[in-house]
Amino acid sequence: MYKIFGYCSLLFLVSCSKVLDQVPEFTIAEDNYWQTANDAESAAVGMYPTIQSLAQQSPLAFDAASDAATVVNSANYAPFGLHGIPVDNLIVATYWQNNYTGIGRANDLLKHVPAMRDSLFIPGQKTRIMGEAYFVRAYLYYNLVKAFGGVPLVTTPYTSFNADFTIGRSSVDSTYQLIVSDLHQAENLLPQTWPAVVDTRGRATQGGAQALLAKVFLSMKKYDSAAANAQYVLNNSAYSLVTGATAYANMFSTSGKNGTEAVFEVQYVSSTQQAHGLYSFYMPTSGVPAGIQPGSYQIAPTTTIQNAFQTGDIRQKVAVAMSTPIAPATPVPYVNKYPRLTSGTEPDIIAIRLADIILVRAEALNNLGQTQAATDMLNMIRRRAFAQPLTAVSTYDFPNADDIAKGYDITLAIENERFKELAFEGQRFYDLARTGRSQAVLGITADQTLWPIPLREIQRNPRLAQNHGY
Amino acid sequence: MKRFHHQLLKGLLLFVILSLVQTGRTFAGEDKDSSIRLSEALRLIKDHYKVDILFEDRTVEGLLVPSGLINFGRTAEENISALIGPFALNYKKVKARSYLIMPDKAKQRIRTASAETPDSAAKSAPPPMDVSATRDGHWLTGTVTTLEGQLLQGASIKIKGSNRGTSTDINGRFRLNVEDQDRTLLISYTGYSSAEIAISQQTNEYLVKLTAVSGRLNDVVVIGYGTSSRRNLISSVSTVKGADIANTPVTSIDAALQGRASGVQVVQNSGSPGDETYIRIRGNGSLFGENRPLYVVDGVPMNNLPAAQYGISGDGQRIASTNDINPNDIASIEVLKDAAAAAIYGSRGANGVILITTKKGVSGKSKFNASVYTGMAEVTKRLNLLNNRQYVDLIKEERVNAGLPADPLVNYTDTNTNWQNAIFRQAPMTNANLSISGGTGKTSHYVSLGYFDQTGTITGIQHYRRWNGRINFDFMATDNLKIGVNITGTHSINHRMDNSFSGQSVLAAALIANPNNPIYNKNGSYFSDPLRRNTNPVMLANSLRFVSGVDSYVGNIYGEYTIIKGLKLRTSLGFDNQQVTDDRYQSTLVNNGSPATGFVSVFNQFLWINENTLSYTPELNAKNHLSFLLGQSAQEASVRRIGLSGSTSSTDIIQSVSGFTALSAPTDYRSEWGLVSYFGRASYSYDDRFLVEGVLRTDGSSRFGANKRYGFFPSISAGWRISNEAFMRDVKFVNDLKLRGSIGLTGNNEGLGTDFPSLATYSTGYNYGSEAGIAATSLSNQDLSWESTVASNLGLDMTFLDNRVSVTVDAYNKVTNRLIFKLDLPYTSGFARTNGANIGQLINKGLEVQVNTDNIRGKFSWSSGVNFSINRNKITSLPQTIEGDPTSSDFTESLPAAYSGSMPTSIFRVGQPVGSFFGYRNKGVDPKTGNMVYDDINHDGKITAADRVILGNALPKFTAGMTNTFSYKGFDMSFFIYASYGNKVYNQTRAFLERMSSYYNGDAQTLNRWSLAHPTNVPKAMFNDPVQANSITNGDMSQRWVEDGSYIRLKNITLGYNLPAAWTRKARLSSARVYLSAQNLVMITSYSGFDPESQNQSVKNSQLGIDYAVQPQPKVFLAGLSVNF
Repeated sequence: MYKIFGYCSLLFLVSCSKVLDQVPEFTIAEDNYWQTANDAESAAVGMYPTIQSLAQQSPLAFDAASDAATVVNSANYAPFGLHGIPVDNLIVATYWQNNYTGIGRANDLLKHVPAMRDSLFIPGQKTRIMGEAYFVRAYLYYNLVKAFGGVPLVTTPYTSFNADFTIGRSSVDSTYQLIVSDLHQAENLLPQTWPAVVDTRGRATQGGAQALLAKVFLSMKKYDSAAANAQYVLNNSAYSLVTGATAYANMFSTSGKNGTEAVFEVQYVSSTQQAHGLYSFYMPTSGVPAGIQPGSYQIAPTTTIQNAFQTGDIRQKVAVAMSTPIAPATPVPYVNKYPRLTSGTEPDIIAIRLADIILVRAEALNNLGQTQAATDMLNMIRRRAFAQPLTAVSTYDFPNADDIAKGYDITLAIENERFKELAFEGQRFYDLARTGRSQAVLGITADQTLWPIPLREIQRNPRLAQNHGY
Repeated sequence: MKRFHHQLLKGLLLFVILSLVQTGRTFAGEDKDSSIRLSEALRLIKDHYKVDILFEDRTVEGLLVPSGLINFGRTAEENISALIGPFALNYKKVKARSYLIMPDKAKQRIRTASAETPDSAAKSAPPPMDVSATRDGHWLTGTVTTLEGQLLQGASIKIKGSNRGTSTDINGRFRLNVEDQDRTLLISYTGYSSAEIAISQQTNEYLVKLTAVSGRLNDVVVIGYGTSSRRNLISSVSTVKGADIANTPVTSIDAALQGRASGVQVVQNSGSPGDETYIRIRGNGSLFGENRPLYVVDGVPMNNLPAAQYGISGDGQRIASTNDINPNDIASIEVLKDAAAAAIYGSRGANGVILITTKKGVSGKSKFNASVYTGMAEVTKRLNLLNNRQYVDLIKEERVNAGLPADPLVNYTDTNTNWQNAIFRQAPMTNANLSISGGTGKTSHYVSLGYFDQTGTITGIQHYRRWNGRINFDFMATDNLKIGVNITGTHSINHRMDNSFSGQSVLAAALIANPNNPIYNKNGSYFSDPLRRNTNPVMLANSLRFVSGVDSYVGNIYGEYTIIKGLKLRTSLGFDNQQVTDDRYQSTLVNNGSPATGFVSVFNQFLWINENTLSYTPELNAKNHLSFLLGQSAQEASVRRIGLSGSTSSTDIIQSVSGFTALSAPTDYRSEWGLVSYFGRASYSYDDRFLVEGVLRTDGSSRFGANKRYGFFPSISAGWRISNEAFMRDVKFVNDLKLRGSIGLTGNNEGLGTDFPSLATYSTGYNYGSEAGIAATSLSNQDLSWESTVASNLGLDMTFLDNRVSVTVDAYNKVTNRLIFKLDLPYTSGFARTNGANIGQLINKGLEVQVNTDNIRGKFSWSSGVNFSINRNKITSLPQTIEGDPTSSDFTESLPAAYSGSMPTSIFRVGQPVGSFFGYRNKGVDPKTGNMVYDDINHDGKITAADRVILGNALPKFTAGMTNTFSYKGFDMSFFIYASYGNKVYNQTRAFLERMSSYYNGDAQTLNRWSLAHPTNVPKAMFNDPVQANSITNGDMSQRWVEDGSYIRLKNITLGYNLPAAWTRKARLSSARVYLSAQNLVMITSYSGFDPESQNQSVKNSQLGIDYAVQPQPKVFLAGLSVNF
């Protein structure tokens, strides 16, 4: 009896060494990752959610600070409108965080994918994944440089918590250098189109890299490169302007996702998954069309943007609509570019679209002194806006009566065209900042064109210098 | 390190094998008689106390006494009466220091174990029985009673040095066959001091009176992997007996421990049935890890994971495993507090260990106990809120001050609903238990069934029910092998209410509800606010389905083999399986017209453990006592959670997700971890004066980094029994005095949120459109290991004044090093923070005093127990990202800003204790603007987050508990008071009731709101209180909402009556007790909210003492009956 008993205890004694070897089933341990092409592919997809998160903040924060929108009631966005952003503002901190989280993921890909055997991948897959990583990293650094100026340049992933996480800021020039270099890499590695339209619009492409290069070079005031890259995009058969009032409005609705004008369109799904929720900020609490979700009306369009449109401009109703509530409540103007359906379907956010690139080329050419070529570009956008044939001379062409009345030269006309065409797409504030027009238009100092480095970051990384004025 | 473990393993194996090879040499239990002659014993007394003792040799001839009866800690007289007590002898003090022993006629046939034998005992003694002595032995009979004459059923009678014995029957009678060589009877009964009686040749009938334990010096104390006696204990252990808590109407044993053990802080989070209780042993030892102790039930470490850790029950109420234990099954609870006691639990001992021992059967006829109590609970306090007209005035003023047009829907009405009265109700509760215990010479059993039913004090479906069953069974398989099983099963169903920080808290909804709204429409349907400004609380209480079902099975099977006398091998295999099924359904009505939503989640945790111990107590000599324990343990635990949520717009009839039209958030979480340990303990005592003990445990855990997988946890303790020193001989009033000290190392490996905290991991769910994405979610930290606590303890145990007063004082210092801190990383790292890194330090130090007194002994008796605990907590080190700036390591965390209040924020800061509230300092209301003025701490001209300061702390300065028990004849009365002093409460309930910025109702303070004509210290009412650039509002977190939460509470008062034996005998009962009891009858506090004790303590470690519309503890009135038969 006691022998059996003793042997039983022995049995347990021997088996216990296995107890310490546990492998997670719920998550993937680093050692088990980066084994298959699918791992690399999933990691590439995994970068985009950081752009999704950003896409909510960038139109809101930048537009709240512009002359297009005014903050009615939002604790987090109000400081942008007042140009007095506290160093601990939540939006600034999460904007910084989202960009660097994405940069970390891109760096992770750039570190691991080259070491993976080529034979794991189908032809072109490995280079394309690398191209996506370069594109995403450049896209995110461009976000950062627009908001903060020069930022810390992290190009390799951190692997252990024991690393030295302090890192200083690089200059604006160095930041741009990295962006340009990444985009050149991306341009060479990425395909023109993907098998699926949704990927051609929603993920990185050669055209997307070139479009971003055009915008980046414009920011750097390298106008010839900006013009050239914009031209590559114009030449690309994947992209064309949509025409007509219906098609134009459709571009910003849930039914018109991934149209021909989208160069890089951030994909969203529904209220319960992958939502940006911009409707909540922009839509009034009642009096919206049937099937559209009412919001909490925290950010409203200004009279400036409402009055900017000429009669007949098909863009006006898309940018600013009027609510039709039941009396005694009164109608209010609201931003109409991001309506969510009551069913929960969420529209996309078009981060880069052809109209933007055409105006980038117009501005670049204008700065190069090629006024006529610039005017041609501008007119293309003008004609589309009034539902005119794109190639025929029109009464809306620059300089028209309105331009003359307002005293617009070609430079101001392009600026104003961007204001209207890209209203509430997060472009206006930075357009004014990079052209040095923010003082004249918004009445703010140069210091106020940049956001503060988040307090949390400065507290955690003593090598980080705060922006002037904060 | 690994090699060492293999060596150790080999060594242990060899040891076990050798022990087994020593096969058949089974030593029969030789009867080493430690009896000595009475004459010799009296001579020893004579010599020791330098007194004269006179006797005729004839009188004491042939009489033997156990040598253990002599106790030099007592007086000479006590020793003499103890020695001669069992015999027909008496003594007389003839002059100072001189005694005469002589035969006592009155005691001729009566033997009593009590030193204070009442002379009247002779009268009640039964007549002598016929003696039927045989050559093999003869029969003894007797009766066991209390000092008061109450018959004791189930008292154990054993012949010392053998396994033979019996127990008393319903009439307290026993009958036992003894052999000629048998010398002494051992009589024991739980709660009474054991008695030894010499078997006399002259008599066969004994009356034994047992004394109820007061000093408890000889109590058996359960310690890790063994037992000790209170007398010889040199570590810090608090004991609570099952009898003290069995009839307390609480759902968890944690709550039952409140105020009964020094050094244990217990806060009842709320009055919600089944809610988790906050419990800390000697303070908070961890910032991000688990702070609750390790629970070990009959040797099985319980699953300690609250289900909420895995995302269930986001309302802040957690399912606690300790609710699964039936308090009626508990024989004793031991709280291991210092490192000397807890080091044997190694990497899990740092928060203290609670050992729960369940009842065992006693040999003898089966004993039945049936007990039931039933009663009513009610929340009687009401907050003073605005009435219908005052509400309308407030809203109108808010609108005017904000420059907004009057709201056409806010008007005076005749309706004036008292929403608090509408949701609170009288709630019945019932508890019923049946147990059967007993055994034969070779087996013992304890079987019980329990049912607990508690209705919530909030109207509607709030209701908790629990069913328990237990079987404890032991048997001697052979003379040397004992096998046992302990198994308990629990099933409970809790229909819950949202509580903490939920937008669907019934109580919060009732407080803010517009009193102009009726509860019901004219047609009987629930009234629904047309603007959906708030949800009808009565509707919510009746319609929101939120059910947690728990099924739990805990048990073990063990074998204990006596290899040779004093050497035992014990193997046990234990398991703990808990399944929590949560489901929630919010109908269209609850969702204010939006589609119905719901979720279901099944959470399962399973743990197995195998432990093998070898214990050896060699027989040395009278002065040297030695014992060893060597053990090995392996355990593995796994958790799994499967969940699904969804929505439906079709029907409310089907409330399961299978009827849902849209499903989302499917989850299938799985995780496992393992622990392999070796441990040992050696204890040595010399001359009953010097005691020393050493413990070493080594733990290997799969949870931690490859570099730090194994840890060593040693402890050493020493004690000095001063009362046994020669110089104490003349200090007569001291019965026992012991000084003890210990130092040791323990660890904490729980509560990191994942079983793989050291690994760099990639997780799914980073999807884009329809494409599935994966991303890195954590950085690796191969150095991550347990938090390690160095604890030292200095204690004094003292019993004096004829054992009337016992005092235990402990002072301790607990330094937690390698504190796991979730270091906030710069976002540039790509991560927000680490899973955890061992980088901080915090200290708990404190003082505990426990005093038990027998104030009055005799027919009327009064005894008291007082305990008092002070703990000081301080974070002493956290990584500073800016050299020299302690605030650079600040970690702040906020709870949601429910109902337009500001977010209650707490902070971990170096130099400060945990539980610190963090916010602005207000300087009062600007008489010109009516706005709150905040202090610009850093003088930068702006009020920003940088101006926040620490506003107070939720930890009490001290806590105390006092119990008083009185008894007279059959009556007993006890009351229990608990006090907490110096704890602050952040009154978030008041913060939103005085916010005055929305359509919510306010409290009476708002009547004193500012106006230009009437400037006050309450800010002005202002609809949408202006969101300034820096988003500071009039209601922001400031010292305005921090209140003193000190309180004294009469937790329990009970009046009981034991029915006279004459009555119970007629009803064929051995005893019966009826009692009335009241809970929370009186509360003294200056706190303005419902209940300073009820706080959202369980949400996060950082956030203590925040009262957000917590369901307060009710007053409870109970009547109970307990019968034994």
